[in-house]
Amino acid sequence: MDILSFVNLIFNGLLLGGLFALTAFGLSVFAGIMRVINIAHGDFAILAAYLAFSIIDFLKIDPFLSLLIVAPIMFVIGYLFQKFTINRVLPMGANQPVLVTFALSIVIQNLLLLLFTADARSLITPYLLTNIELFGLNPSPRYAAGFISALIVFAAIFIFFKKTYLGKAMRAVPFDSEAAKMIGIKSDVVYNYAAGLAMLVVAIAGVLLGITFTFYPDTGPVYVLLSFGVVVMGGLGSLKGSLVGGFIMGEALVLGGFFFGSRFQLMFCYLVILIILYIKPQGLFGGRV
Amino acid sequence: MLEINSLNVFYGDLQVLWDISLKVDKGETATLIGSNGAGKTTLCKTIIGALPPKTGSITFMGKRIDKLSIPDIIRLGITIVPEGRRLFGNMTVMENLELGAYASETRKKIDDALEWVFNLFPVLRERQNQLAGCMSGGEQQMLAIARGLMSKPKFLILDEPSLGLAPKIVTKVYEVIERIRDEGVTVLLVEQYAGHALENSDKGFVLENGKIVIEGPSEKLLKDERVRKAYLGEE
Repeated sequence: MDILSFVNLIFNGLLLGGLFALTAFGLSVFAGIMRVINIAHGDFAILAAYLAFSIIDFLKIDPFLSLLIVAPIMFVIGYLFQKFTINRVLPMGANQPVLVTFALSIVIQNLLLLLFTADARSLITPYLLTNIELFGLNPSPRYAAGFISALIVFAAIFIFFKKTYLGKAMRAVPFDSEAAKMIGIKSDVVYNYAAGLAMLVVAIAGVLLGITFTFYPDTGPVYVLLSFGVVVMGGLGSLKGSLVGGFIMGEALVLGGFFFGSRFQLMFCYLVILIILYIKPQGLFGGRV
Repeated sequence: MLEINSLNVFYGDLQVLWDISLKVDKGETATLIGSNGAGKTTLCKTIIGALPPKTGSITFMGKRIDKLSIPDIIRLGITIVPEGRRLFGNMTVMENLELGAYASETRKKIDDALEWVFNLFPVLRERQNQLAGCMSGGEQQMLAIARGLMSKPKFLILDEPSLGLAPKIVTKVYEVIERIRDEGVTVLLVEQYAGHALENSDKGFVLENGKIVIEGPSEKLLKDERVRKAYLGEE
């Protein structure tokens, strides 16, 4: 194997890492603001992918264009899900909300199975299968789409958190909800919007995953595990950490595949996570929202 | 301006405040004195709407407020600077100030409010991009007060503004409170050690075990033997 193919591999690992980061952002936002690990995170992403699949099938539009419909629907689903389930169990302690998301994960999977059968689906369109050449490298157009989307979403969330009142409230509430309450911030309302935001991001991730990989009604848990790895590695609640964590995960996957074969590449990924957590138990950017 | 009538407040089955009545007039500075666990913070929380009273009423500028939400009460013009400052240490001075206007109408005219607050606290103008968590205790207390002022309150409650500060800094904090009062804001000081507070206020109330046991003009309380023994640190 020549050096160029190796550089090509590293480059595609980086692009794939962007997609992984994008996949993890929703979980990161949810965990950072509500302090709840959303077990149904991956299932929400797959739900969004199926939604996009139906819309594309029905309207015959481009998968990226379908986001104009899928993203708002997912925002509303997130908002209502928070308002009517999570907010009600949040005062009961740390375990109940996680159990609720676990239950929801099962419900979504079975609902999708009922509606869409167990057949494999994909959102791939022909133009994403063409070969691109860039400085002698061959980036995968699908990975590149995920990477670019990840950067755009990261910048958008970052600006939202920095520049808007609602975004600032979303950073204030997890830091000190009692203090936030005293200055008139209603944390349950902030949580509703935060869950909506998380699901909006999940919608984008779901469509990009659907473009890149085939999916089934029960694919969700794969992505929640992957996202959890990325989020924990980067530091719980740190968006920057999730971005960097995604890149590391992408590289670990392609390099693991290259050196140890595809049978061991996932194991290699989690080994990398373990090593990073051994060195920095709070994650790379842990402890900050 | 603020009138509390026979207020009874419970935590579950446990009664914490007993038959509290007090009145603060417009432009006045009043002090609420009490030791740890006397119910001072509970009373503050009840006024701001964080804790519903079981019986009794709270009236602010002629309007019953004891069933309103915290944001509604803030919009009417009451703000609390909580005990222990409770700043958002992960955010900048500027962001903390902006959040101070979160629930209030001043959010639409944030520049006016910022200008007003920066004139009262020039140091915050210089430090606006610094993280709140990286400032000294005195600066943090100033920022906490400034954040409270961002909603342009008519009535400001300061819960233990001198807690954990060096005597020199406490003097500075009280200079600032004096200026806030000159701006026409009615102030309720809540303190455990009452010397500074009483010297800077018109009247005082002493809270013991959830009941108001002594009340009167500040100069009278400063001479009161029980007050001197328990809250001014004299033998």
